Amino acid sequence: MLDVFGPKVVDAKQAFCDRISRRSLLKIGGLAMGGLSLPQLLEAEARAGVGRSHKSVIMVFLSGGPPHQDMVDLKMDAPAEIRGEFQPIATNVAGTQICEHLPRLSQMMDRISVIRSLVGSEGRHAAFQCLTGRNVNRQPPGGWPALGAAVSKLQGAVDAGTPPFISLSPKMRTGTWSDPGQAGYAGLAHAPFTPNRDGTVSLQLSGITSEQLGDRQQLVTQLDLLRREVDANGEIEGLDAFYQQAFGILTSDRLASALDLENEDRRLRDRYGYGSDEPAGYGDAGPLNNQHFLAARRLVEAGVRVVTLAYGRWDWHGRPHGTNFENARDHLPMLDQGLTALLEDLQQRGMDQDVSVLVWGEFGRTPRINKNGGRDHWPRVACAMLAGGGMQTGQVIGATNRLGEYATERPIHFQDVFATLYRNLGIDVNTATINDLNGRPQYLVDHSHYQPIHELF
Amino acid sequence: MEQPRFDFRHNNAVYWAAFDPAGQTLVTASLDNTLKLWSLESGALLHRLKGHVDGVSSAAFSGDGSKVVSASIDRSLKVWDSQTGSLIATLTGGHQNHVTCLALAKSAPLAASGGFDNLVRFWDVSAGTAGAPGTGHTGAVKAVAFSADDQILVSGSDDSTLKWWEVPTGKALRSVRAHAGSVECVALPGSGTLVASGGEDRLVKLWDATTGKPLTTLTGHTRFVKSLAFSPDGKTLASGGYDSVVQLWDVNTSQSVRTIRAHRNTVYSVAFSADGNWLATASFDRSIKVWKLG
Repeated sequence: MLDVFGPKVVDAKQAFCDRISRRSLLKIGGLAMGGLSLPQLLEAEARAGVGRSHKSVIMVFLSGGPPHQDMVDLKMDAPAEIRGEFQPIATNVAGTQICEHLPRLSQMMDRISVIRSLVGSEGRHAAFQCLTGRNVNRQPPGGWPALGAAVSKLQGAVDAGTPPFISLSPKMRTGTWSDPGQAGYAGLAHAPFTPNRDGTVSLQLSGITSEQLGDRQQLVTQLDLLRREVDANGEIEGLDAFYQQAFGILTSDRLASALDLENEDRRLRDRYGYGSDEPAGYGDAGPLNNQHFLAARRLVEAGVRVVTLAYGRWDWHGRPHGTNFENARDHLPMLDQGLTALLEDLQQRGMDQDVSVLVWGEFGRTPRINKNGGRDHWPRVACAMLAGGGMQTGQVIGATNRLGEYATERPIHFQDVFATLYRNLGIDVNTATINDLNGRPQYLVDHSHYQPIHELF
Repeated sequence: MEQPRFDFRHNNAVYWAAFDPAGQTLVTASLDNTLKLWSLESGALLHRLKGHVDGVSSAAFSGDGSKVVSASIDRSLKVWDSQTGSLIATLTGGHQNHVTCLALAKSAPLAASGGFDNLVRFWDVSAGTAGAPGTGHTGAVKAVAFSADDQILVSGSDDSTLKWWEVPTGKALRSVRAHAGSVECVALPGSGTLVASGGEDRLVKLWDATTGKPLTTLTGHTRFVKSLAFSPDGKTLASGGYDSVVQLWDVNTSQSVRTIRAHRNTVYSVAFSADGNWLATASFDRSIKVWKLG
């Protein structure tokens, strides 16, 4: 079961007298609905041609930077010190091969598009670029919003009981990996709900009876206490939405139910596979927990628009933390199982046309294997996998040179991928803007340079 | 395929397994930063030892079984109470880089460690103090092992050599170029005059412990050899490799007598129980398997 429900005993310093922590309320406050009225939302959806359908994104962040040349772009013509240990295997897409440790994926390649020419990484060990599409440096006032925050701002919540943006990433030692995605200038109300991070108490607010929950005055009193804190910090934007969202979640079991995997069929849980909620890499990085894939599916099914999760530790510099290849032999079969289960599950539920799935990391890894059997950081090129969302799959987009050093065909930028996701969500990156804190409209991507990947449509 | 008696798990790669002297408890060390103590009667997890802030590379029981000493990539050694799982002491300052291997003397509170700083260190575990460094290796020290009488320590290194050290002075006695590429593991039997080494060259080699002369070479692993252990009677040598395979060798004939293909990743550690009835194999695949022998 996911680590959703926090400790029953809340730190006394953080708790109100009825044991609801300020932090938990603040988190719920961060879930507030977007700024659009219902008529505006309907109008926006109609303009985007998506009607009332619920489009969503599941983004799997491979924290640390996966080795592109050992997964989907094997370089068998390269010398041994570059080629690596793994053999390619055929897939169900003629002419396309991937790593031998992704056997299930090889038989579902018709449902995936592989990008072998992902460029534009700023080389930072961080989730930031995968969450926002942007660089950390030179952010506009308020900061770039993460994909989920922007979508929350533009499209609001599908259901009052579910926040539009959820990050399943836990806290990690490396904070830049555990970054759930900032709200940025979209506003605090559009920050992600982060059920797996420390300090989140039960969504059912343990210690509160339903009668107490129904006592609006009690809750308002506590929210007022929180409001004073928030006001003092200048975080006042979206407080109306704060109230709405807080009540929505507290009075609906939709979100809690989605996160309670005990409700799921055991055979399906087994198909996804399991893992641990602990950080995958010696106290750091994302957990290698395939149940998070299942949780992501349940969340989008419950109405969440964007779910992100950090998965595993892919920063494989070598011994004594294991060679790149030992770690790949450990992680790739797990990813193979979890990702294929997710794609199968989405299809069987008829969700595959609405849910876009993206798997990627912050950069690729060095072509040359280092003396410790590892591969180091390589921002010049990386890979990504896209599925669902109504995209044309079963294709490879782009190529790298013989040694996997740089893109030789069809370089795809991080922001091209973001433009694609926004398109799948029904948002036109050429027209949609959100004002930064100076009131200046900001496009979601730099659309003069980056557009949805046309091969996918 | 034959099934192990126990199949234990960590949340990351398992780097080491060692039996207590009574054969009742197994300690395992993992890249998940923890050690685990397992009951070999019930298979229950007895304790999870938390305190290291990086992977735990090795562990051993003291001669009376009352303590566990661990070595970590976080550059420290820790001493634990094996009954309660509580931390007794942390030993630091001996290594300036990852500690990758550890051995405990049987007859004294003396430990030896090796690390990525190319050093061999002797430690007084009771006092928590490090002795003078053993210098001479020019690559990371991957393995250390005491002789049966605790008078000699043998180390193996990325520099391709085996070195003999006087205990506890740390005086270098002998150096032998042992393998093509790194030496990954070393083992000495409980009696006799052999040294076994395994290397990047996929070979297991046996050496005369007194003279350092090569005796024989065991071939069979298809990737580098990562782990070695002699059975208590010295007649059997177990090896584990990057090929995920465990081999049991008849020391007298130099022939492989049993092959275990039960792991899905590098076998980082092999260990016999003191009575020779059990073999533990630990792997990067996160599992520790305990096999009944005979």
